[in-house]
Amino acid sequence: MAPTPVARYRRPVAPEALRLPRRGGLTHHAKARGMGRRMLIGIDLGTTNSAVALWHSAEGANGEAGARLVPNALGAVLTPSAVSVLPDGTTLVGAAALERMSLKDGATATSFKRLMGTDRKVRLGRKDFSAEELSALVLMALRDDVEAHTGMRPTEAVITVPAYFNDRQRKATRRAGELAGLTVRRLINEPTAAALAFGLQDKAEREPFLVFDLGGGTFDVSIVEMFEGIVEVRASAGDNRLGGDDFNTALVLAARGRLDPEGLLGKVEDRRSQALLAQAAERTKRALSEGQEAEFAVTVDGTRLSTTITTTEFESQADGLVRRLRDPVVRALRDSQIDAASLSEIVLVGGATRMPIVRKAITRLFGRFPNSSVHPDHAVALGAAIQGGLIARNGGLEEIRITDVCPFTLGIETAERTARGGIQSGLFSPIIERNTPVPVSRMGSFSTMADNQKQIDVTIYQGEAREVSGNVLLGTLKVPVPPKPEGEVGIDVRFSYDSSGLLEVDVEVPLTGAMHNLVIIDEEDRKAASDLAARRKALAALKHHPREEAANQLLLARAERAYEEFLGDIRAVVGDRTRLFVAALDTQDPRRIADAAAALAELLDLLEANPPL
Amino acid sequence: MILTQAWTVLGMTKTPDAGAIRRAYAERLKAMDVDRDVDGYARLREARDAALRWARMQAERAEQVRDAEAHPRDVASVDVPPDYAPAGPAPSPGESSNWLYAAPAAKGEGDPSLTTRLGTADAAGKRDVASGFAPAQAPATQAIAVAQDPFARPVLLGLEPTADAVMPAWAHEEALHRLLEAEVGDAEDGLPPLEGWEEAMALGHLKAILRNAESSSVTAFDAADNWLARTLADAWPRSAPLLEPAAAVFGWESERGQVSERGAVAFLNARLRSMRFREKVQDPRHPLHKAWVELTTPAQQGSRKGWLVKRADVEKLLEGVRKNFPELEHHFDAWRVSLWEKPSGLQVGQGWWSNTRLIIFAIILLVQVLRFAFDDRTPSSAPELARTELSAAQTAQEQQIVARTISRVFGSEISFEGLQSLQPDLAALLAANRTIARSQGESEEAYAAKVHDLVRERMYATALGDKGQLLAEVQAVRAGLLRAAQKRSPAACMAFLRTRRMDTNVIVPAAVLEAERKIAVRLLDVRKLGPPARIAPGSASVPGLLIEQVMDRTGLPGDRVRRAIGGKGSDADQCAVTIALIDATLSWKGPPKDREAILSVL
Repeated sequence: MAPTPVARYRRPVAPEALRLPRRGGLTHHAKARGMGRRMLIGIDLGTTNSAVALWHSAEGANGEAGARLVPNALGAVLTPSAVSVLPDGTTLVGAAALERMSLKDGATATSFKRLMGTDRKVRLGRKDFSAEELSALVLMALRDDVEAHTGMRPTEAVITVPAYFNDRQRKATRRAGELAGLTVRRLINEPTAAALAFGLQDKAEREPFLVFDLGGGTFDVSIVEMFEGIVEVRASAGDNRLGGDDFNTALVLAARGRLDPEGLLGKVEDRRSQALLAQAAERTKRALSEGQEAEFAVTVDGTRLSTTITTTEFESQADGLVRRLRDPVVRALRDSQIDAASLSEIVLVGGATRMPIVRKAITRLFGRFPNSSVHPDHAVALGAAIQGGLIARNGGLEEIRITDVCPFTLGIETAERTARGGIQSGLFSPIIERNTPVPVSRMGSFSTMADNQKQIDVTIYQGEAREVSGNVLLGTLKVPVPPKPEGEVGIDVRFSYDSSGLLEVDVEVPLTGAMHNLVIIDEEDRKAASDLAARRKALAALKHHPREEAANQLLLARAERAYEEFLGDIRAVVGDRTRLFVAALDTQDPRRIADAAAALAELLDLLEANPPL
Repeated sequence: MILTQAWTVLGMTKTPDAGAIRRAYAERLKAMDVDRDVDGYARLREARDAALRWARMQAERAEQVRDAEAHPRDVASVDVPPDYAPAGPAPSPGESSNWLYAAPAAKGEGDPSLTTRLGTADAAGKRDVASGFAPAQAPATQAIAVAQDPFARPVLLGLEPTADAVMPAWAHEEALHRLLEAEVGDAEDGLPPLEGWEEAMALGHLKAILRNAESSSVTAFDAADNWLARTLADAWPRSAPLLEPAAAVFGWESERGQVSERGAVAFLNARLRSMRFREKVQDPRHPLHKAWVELTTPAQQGSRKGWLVKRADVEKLLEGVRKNFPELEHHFDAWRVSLWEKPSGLQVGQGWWSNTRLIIFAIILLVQVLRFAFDDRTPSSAPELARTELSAAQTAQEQQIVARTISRVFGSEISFEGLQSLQPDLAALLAANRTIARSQGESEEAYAAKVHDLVRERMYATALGDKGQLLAEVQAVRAGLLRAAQKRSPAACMAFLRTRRMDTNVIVPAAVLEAERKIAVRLLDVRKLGPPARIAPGSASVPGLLIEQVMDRTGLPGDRVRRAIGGKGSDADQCAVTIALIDATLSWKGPPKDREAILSVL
């Protein structure tokens, strides 16, 4: 077989050729830097999509104060959280990367937010990437979008995280921001951000309402109250392993048996078949939001496999997922001691709340219809921008204050003497209970367990299990103590948790007056601190596809996918049109490029809308 | 925080205005940098919470005063029965936050005019899906709300699964609670296990409750979760067969080992694990099976340790059970455990005789092990509705039993055929229950007693619906029945009051039975002995005059009478007071409406 024709056409294009005239270049940067203004942006770093927004103060050129989303190079405000590495090592972020997911050599990563805070690496092309590096690439793309849009380079950011993200996951997110060259001023919880966006729509007083945030990979519930310009989060709970992706998986499971009786999918590369199925499931999921049944179809090497999925089938397959929605709701209500009936609204956030099956479950859970007045995909980024405006003390926002809670329990490991005289170790002693308002500072007192003990290990954990083995280890502090009989040496352990979610531990030995302090930095963090600069440089050294070419790149990726999917005549036509397009790119003549792009896009639209059988 | 400090921190003067408190809080909060002044922020929050709590209490008190003024004075005030104490995190005092634990009926609390709270009318009006689970309601002492045939379920279970839909969730809860309730008086030796038919019924109710919880709102689901956890924990080990399905729906096991694990759930989770371990260890392939058999086999005079059992295994089992499943230790024979726990040195060197005894014992043990193994394989005595054909003689005998029972309940003038034509559903119920009774090997006496209870329940339900003269007559009969039960024992009387099941040992005077039969036949003639309609729980005020009469009749002091009316106090008190109150009300010449209201809730 001849080499794939498309691959040949991918060649560097002079950036100037496609740069849109209204977008500013270096001069603007210089001006912005010269003015010495720092720019603070709000970023929703999602599992499926990411978005960036800016706070515009009233005195700005646009007049009205408010948060606004910034469009990417394709003119869309949502950028898929997908990263792809082209064979030449260039990285690609967003829609074009997502398109490449099911290609034969489509080294693409998606849903990497689920790996945040773990050591897992994703191999793309010849390089391994950690989840935070991939996230950093997305953040860089968003940063560039803002720069192109405003002519100013953002230096600081507020990034949102799921409320139920644990300390490690938060730290990883913070590092991702720093890798992208942004100073992370604050991490705020996604439902809190959404509540801000919801609450500031009319600035009315609100009885406690519930934010139901079901995103692509995480699920959060927060109960929020607004009064006198105070946004008070009363309680948050969540499941950081539940989201729209899981519903896609359920659809794949429902369809798989009937879809492919001859096992065609088994013949292609595992990664690719999974990508194909996931994309098909996403399409089916959207279609099922409209009707009672939808087609589930994949095209593998020219063969189209398809089956029909009904709402009922989907519901029974996703029953287990729907049940998992209830637990965090109950927990948040219990913790805040608020009756579900007295909630003033159920505010839906997150793309997955669009699914009728989820809406049905919510209606049943609360015995009423939810409120969908905020845009489920935009609210979080807008809230982040509002928080940014608050930090920068921008006009129009002076009178708003947010108070949040720490959604998980923090404590240390202790041991106990059992009734039979043995020692049971590995017990978790909470110091800050979950859903305590932050910032908070709490103290617990502990004492030695053995005669002449010389050191106490203060091991810090986060979680809800009575035994530390079920919780997340955050760090250890070794405290030397004077040798004395058992129980005679006491220590006071003080936990201080600030509004950004940073925990500081102080240990005092009253007997000696010695003080020990630990800002929780886990292993990864320590390692990261030393090579953060190096990693940042490495990331920056990666060849990024120029954002001006994003539209063309997306078109090429689509063409490439169509080329792989179809055989025979259609493949030949796709190849021809692609060649014409690439040739047009080579001429650097904007008009010819636009014509060729339109012709190719028309063909691809046609093929995608009416797939030939 | 002391309240006076709170006002200082908030910088305001004492006020019950919640809005003003919030405004003051907001103003202070905006003036501070919480990250720099963490303690100040904590103080401010505490001050606000204390002030708001106080404001709410003021508002509640004001409401109570208004209510009290609106009601007449000559009304005795009686304590309402206590709500089930919350097992979860205790809500702070004064916080109107115990919604998760309190029933919607809790509104009646503190209302001085509410003298007998037998399920408040307020709750009855609002019983919808969301408030269907009313934890405080379920154990309500004398709730008349449930006018369900106590043994209509096995019939429905077997023949008519769809009939579930007609029964509301709370009725299932009541029924389940009643089933799990211990037979009065047995409580000391632990609760007896559910009998076959009871288990089937309980599972049926449980299934309905779970289904309902799953399809209803989060409040109702949570209330059901809490209620079931406590109910099952309270009724352990009687509730054992219900544990697995309930735990699966509410995800109790995922709560295991959490800091916030609820007390009842922790208890049940421990039992669940023990049950699973017990099941596993009874499998002969389990490594500790032999040790288990050894320790659980009842010891006889002069029993020795089984010698086919490894000491290490026994020790491992004992240690493991004591550490992980302490509640399983009661399965062990204390004598055997002590044998194994003694240092083995004591048994050394007692000559050949002891060895012989050892061998003899080993043989005995072997026989026992075999028997044990055999027992394991025999089918369990689960209820099986025998579908075997009856011989002609058996059929005749069965018919005779049913006929005798009918004449006992209705008098000789009613035949089965007559019953069938007048009230076919009742006839079918009688026949079906006979089938069950036979398959369970129940005596004719027990069957007759059940039928009697069933008819009584229906009569009573009809009377509650019709009110008027019929209600008075039925209550008069009921007083007679209660008196008869009281003679037997206060416990029997209480059991009849609570469960509407008459102890078979109670001797009911012929005159009462005769009066009862007359009413039954009369109702049957007008076909009014159908399935009991749902009767709304109600409340009534008992005037001071009647209270005095009851005090005279029972010779009890006023406070004990009031407590008994409120469903508290000893069985004897409650029983005596109920009888006296029925009598007093029946002879009372007060307004018919009030009279009826009292009779309806007794």
